[in-house]
Amino acid sequence: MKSLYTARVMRPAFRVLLCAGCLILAGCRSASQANHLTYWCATNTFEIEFARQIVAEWNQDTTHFPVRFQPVPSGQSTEEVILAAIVGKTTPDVYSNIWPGVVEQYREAGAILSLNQFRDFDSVLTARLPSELIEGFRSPDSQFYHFPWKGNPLMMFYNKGLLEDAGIEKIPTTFEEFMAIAPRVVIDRDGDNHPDQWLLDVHIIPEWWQRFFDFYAFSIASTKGKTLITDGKANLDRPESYQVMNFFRWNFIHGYFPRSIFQEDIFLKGQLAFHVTGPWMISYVERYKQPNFEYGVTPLLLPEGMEGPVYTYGNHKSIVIFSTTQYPREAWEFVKFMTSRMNDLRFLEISSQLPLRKDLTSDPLYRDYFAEHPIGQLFADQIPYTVGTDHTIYLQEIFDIISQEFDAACIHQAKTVDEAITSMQKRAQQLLDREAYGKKADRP
Amino acid sequence: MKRPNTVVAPYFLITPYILHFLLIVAFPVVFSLILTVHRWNLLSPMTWVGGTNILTLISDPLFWKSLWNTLRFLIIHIPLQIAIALVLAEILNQQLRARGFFRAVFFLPVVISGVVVTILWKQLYASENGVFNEVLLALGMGRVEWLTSPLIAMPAIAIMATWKNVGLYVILLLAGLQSIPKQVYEAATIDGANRIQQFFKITIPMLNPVLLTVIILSTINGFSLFIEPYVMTGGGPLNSTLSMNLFIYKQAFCFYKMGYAATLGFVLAVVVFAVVAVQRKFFEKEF
Repeated sequence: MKSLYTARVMRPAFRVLLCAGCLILAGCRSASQANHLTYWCATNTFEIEFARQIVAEWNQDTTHFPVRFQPVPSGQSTEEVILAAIVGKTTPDVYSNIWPGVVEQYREAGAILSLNQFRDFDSVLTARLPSELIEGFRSPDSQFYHFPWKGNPLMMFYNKGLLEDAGIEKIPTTFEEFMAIAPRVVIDRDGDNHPDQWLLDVHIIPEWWQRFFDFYAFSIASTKGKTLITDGKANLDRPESYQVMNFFRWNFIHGYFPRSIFQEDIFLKGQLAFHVTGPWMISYVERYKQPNFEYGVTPLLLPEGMEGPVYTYGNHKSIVIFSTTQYPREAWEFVKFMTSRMNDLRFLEISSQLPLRKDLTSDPLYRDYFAEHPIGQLFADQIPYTVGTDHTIYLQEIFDIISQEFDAACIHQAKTVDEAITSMQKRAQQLLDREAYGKKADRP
Repeated sequence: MKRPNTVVAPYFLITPYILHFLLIVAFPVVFSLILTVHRWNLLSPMTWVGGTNILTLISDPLFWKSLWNTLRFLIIHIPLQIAIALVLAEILNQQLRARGFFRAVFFLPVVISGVVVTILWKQLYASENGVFNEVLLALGMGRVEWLTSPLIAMPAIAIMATWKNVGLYVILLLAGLQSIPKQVYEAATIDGANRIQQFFKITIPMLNPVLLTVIILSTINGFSLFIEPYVMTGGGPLNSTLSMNLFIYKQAFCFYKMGYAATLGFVLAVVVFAVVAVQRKFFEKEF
């Protein structure tokens, strides 16, 4: 009886537990003794193809340290996945699609390496980046923790046919001109007392990052490139904020911007005159547009009387090396290879996204591409006039506050613009004060 | 004297469950309790903050808004769901043709992924070219801003959640109805009671235990409202669909306030216990 019990129950159970233990140990061993670099890229097909090509070319050279790549694991958002990887210490060596807004959090946690430790970093950075953009990537401790890779300036796509039908010959450049054409564009075609085409769309679901495409981008244009924070002080209560908020509020009140959820892409369907987006939209529109659909691209709107270059949000993405890497020098060499002149051209051709480099429009290497893609050239010309986001660990929360106040004052008019701006200024400043207090408390 | 293996073996065999309980249930609860008195963003070391999280919660208007939104959802969702489930269960309890087919049809939404159902309903609710608005227009009525009006968005979500979950409660109530002896109805019929009187004087009282279970289950399910506002409205418009769970999720995984999110989680648990206790006291006495 005893031997039967032991044979049928105890031994199999013991074996299962033993196997599970061995598998766990084997997993730990392989993770800690990797003899290659791991590179995570974004999950879109264009960037996966780019990663596949450059990794294959890198690995062909036997003097290079081997690299394996994979798209960043799927999750609700990339930031969540990276955060989970940092907490679990399963970060890759190199990651190429990081939003600069989260870099400060990762830096404070010691999760990413300072790139200044590499002797040639300064020369590589200054050779690549326009001088006016460099400071935007520097952390408050004067170090650089992310390498600027691509910039996707926001501009306005417009539907040429729809504007021609409305008798509009000059594309508006100011808020006033834009509002003046609104009654001619927003019309009821089928007589049901409801508009069938609109002037501009705004994402009405209150997600914090959607404000990059409306309030933030237009604030940057209206202030000639100023962000929201200066020396720990929130700058939300400024005249330009009132101009931008009043502009959106007025258009929602008059129904020129739709307060609706649509089933389809109304820009491609020909029901929208303007749409704020980045150069990634080019390949999308080219793939899905109707044969007679014609479009153009124009910079963001300015307040009346303002002249000069039009600034915009750059929507920059960077490359980081995580501090879990055992091969920082090799990782840095791979980053340099990935952002070389030839690979930037390859990236441009595959994805239609713009490498963030100062010679993008002057280097003969890229000339043919832009000759064939004039709309891409417009985005490239915009790059020197882009700004990113501020460096604060509360950036997402500040944008969430802006989103709530924008929702209340502009989309639903439940508050006045004055109340909304006063509230967002106060709440953002409270967060910045908390951050400053925390830093003071951390000092020895 | 017992053989050694029969003493050790039971403990050995329950070890996986004990490990599972300790790691998946006990540890997170204890850890969350510790978090309620700390500030932690997952990346930096925890900082002791004492009662700050609970004080922040009390003065946070969004917490009260999310609590009110969740209660508003329950007030619409639970009576609607139970009324529809009761009517459907009563119909299915009759000698209908294809009764099994209808039971399966009503239960189908319960087993479909919540995200899939929510995306589907978001399309139905679309302001332009959405099915519901097209039907209203065909009937000569005006468009309804189902998901973009602060007044209508939460009832719209409650209707969708009712459609999704009602099948489960139909099955539970049907089992309850079938357990009521037919002789009771026969006796009532002989005494002259009509169908409505039988329903209120026999069916409802005798369904009391099942109804209580259904009410408690739908309350607990209602408090876990998350996927619907997350996918359909993001908590808007004007935070009118910001449920407690969505609020907790945002605090934890958008703003990395783990201590505050844990505090909110415990407060939500207390609220659920309190509401269920009130329901038990009221309904057990009433029926």
